[in-house]
Amino acid sequence: MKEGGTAQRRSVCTLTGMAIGFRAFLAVALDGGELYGSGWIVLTAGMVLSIPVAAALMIIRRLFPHEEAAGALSGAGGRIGVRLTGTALFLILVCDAGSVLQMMSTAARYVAAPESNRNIIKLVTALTAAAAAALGPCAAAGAAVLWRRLAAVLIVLLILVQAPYFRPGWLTPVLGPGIPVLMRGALPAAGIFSLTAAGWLMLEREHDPDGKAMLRTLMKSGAVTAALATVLAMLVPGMADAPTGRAFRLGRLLANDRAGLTLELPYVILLYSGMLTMLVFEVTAAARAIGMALPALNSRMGAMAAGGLAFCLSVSDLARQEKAALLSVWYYPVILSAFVLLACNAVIRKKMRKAGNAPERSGDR
Amino acid sequence: MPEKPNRELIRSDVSRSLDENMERIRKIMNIPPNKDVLLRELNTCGFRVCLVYLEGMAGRAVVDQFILEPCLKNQADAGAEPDERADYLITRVIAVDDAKKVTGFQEIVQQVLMGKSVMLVDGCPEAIALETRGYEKRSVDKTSNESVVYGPKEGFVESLRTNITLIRRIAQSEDLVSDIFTIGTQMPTLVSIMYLKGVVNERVLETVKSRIRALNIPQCPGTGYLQQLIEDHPYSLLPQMLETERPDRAASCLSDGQVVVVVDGSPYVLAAPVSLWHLIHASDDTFMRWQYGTFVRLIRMLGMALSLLVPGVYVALTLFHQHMIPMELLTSIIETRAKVPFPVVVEVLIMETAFFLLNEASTRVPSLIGPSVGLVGALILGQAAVAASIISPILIIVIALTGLGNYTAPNYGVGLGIQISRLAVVAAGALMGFYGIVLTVGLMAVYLCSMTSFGEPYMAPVAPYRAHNGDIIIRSPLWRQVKPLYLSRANSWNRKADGRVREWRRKK
Repeated sequence: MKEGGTAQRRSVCTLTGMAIGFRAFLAVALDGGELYGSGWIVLTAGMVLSIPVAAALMIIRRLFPHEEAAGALSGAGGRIGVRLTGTALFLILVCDAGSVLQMMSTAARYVAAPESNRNIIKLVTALTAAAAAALGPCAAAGAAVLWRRLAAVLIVLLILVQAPYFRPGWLTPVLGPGIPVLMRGALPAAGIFSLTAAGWLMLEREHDPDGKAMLRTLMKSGAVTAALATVLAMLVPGMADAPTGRAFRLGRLLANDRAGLTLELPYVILLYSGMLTMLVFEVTAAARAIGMALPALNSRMGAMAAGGLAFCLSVSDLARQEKAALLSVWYYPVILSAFVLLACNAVIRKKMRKAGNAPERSGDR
Repeated sequence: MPEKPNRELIRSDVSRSLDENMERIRKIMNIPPNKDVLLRELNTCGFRVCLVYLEGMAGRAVVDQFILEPCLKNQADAGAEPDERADYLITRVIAVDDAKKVTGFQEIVQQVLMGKSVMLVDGCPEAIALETRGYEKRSVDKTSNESVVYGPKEGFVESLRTNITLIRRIAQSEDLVSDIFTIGTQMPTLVSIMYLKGVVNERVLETVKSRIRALNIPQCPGTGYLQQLIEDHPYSLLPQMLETERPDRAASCLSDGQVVVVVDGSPYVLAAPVSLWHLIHASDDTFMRWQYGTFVRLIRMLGMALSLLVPGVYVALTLFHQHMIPMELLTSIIETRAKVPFPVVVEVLIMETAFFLLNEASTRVPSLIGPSVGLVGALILGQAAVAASIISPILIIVIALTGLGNYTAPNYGVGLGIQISRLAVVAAGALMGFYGIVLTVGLMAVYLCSMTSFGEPYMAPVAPYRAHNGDIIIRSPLWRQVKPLYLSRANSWNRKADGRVREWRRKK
């Protein structure tokens, strides 16, 4: 039983780490044209900024060690607190899933099917993600464990094939466009890394008794993503006057201006499967979050609702690159304030209880 | 539900009157039309008895030598009180090792149908069931579907007792339990649940037992039938139990903590729980040296992956991703397809259908004309189809590769599951290229990870990860495999002592 629990924790952490890492990487590779070779700094800063969120999760877990995620949040912030947090996370995840759907349809159309209907691609993708999410977090997490192996092989293959083209000089100047621009870029990255909170919702209580699982996941994911961004920066020359649209940058990412034909297939498989993992994570976590906000909604209905809403958002203006980038700036403040407030509230309530000033209530649900 | 005729009689108990009992047996067993149910009446020890048995099912030599002969020799005995006559016959007259008293007609009929003989005794409210089973059965022979290069060759037969013996001969342990009972409300079938006590996971064992015992079916024709009724995901394309015809494989499953189910009349046994990895392992992986075992296992996995993906990837490449194909190959494909009147998807589906037909036909035809089917298939799939410009030559290579890959699946169910899934991959490749294939394969992966076999994750120990020996994807050296399989209980006695297998190296 204990072994099964450990396995589940590892799988969920893998899913969370891979999904947020890949999402953050794409945020730099596709949306962060102005960062040039300094994407790794942005990613590292984003990871560091998200540590308070992971720390808040750890505090909540330690204060309510015998509760599930919903119970612990309820104990920390009461019924209203858990509903607000659940709704906020759901909306953020669904918004981001909409943006990912938009990205996926762009990628699919760019690579092979320029004349395909964008909305059909989005609908099929959303349905696939919803169906996968309906099978539960353990299933999605298991698939992520399998994908990690495939991704590792493909990444090593790509790096080896491209090794002769590495240009460490492109990493300079280290601070790239300057500190203000980097800090502006770090905010969306932190928003994506703070989605570890969504991964935490999928962990069963007995699988993470010390609450450190997500902190470790965040650190690992941030480190690996920053390393990969460094490798990418050594391959793709930063072009100050280049257009920064997603399709253009996607094309550059795939073709790398040098070895398009040789590498496009592994790149494409890596890109598609990574995006799918990301989307499945977001829809699965969104289903979990809406389940906390509206307990009457079962997990399958939650998955369908999340997938459906993500599709609707993806066909709206909100999923356009510039608007998605604007929205992503708000992920971090919302998640950080929600979880830090919950953790503070939990600490105060616990202290008051110890002092005998508050009635003894466990899990105000 | 309409009840069987003579239901009341079957439920009744044995009477003290022999004539009444014989009359009941005649009615229940439909005598006289039934000519093979024999009622042999005789006098022994001063009272009348009647031996009931099925001709052909009971061994004539045993009946004659060890029941009838002693009874007739003891005609002059003083005998015993009516209530003690059954005990008297068992202890002093009948020379059969397995003899037990029965009181109800239901049990009497069941024993007779199984091939035992039942002796009805005048004046006694009990009958005696005697082990006389001696029906014809196939002798133990080579396996027909699970051939190996190295390792034992013998396979299971249709007799439950023989199959249990074959397993016991390999797994010689006092902790090997064989729990035998019947299932089927109208025509009971003997089933044995075998496991190693102290190694098997009790929760899994309880699940298997409870599912089988809770079946409400009139009869159980075999393991395939039983498997469909007790597996976790009946709508899945892949089996969740291992069906094997090899006693060594069944014994290996037992020592890994799995439960083995033997059904009378079936030359296969079931092992559960299993993961997908079990289903793509073959027996001789273990018997070969680890380098060979690893190599053939990797080849097998590659074959299955090719079988699932190659036609879909071919369709995706030719329809959507021409820029990924080297120019020379692209030119060659276009040239060979110039005269083909069908779109590439139709072409692939035609070839797939032909392949499925050929496969099914060669399975069903008598072995004498089997080669002819192969010849016809090769002609249709090869020269004729290409000459008639129905298909392009490159597609023959694609389908041949697919077919070969499919045959590497050591489990027939897995092979069929891959064949069916392949159609979905072809459809996805035709509709959305690589993107569609990735979505389909991704969804398949999530579904596989959601599956369980008797509560154990189907993709374990890889996803979710469980501590295990290196015998899942690669076959690591035997002396490194010191952990018990993750399916067995944590404190199993079957673990290798202290992790030291090759003690001779220490003594050097």
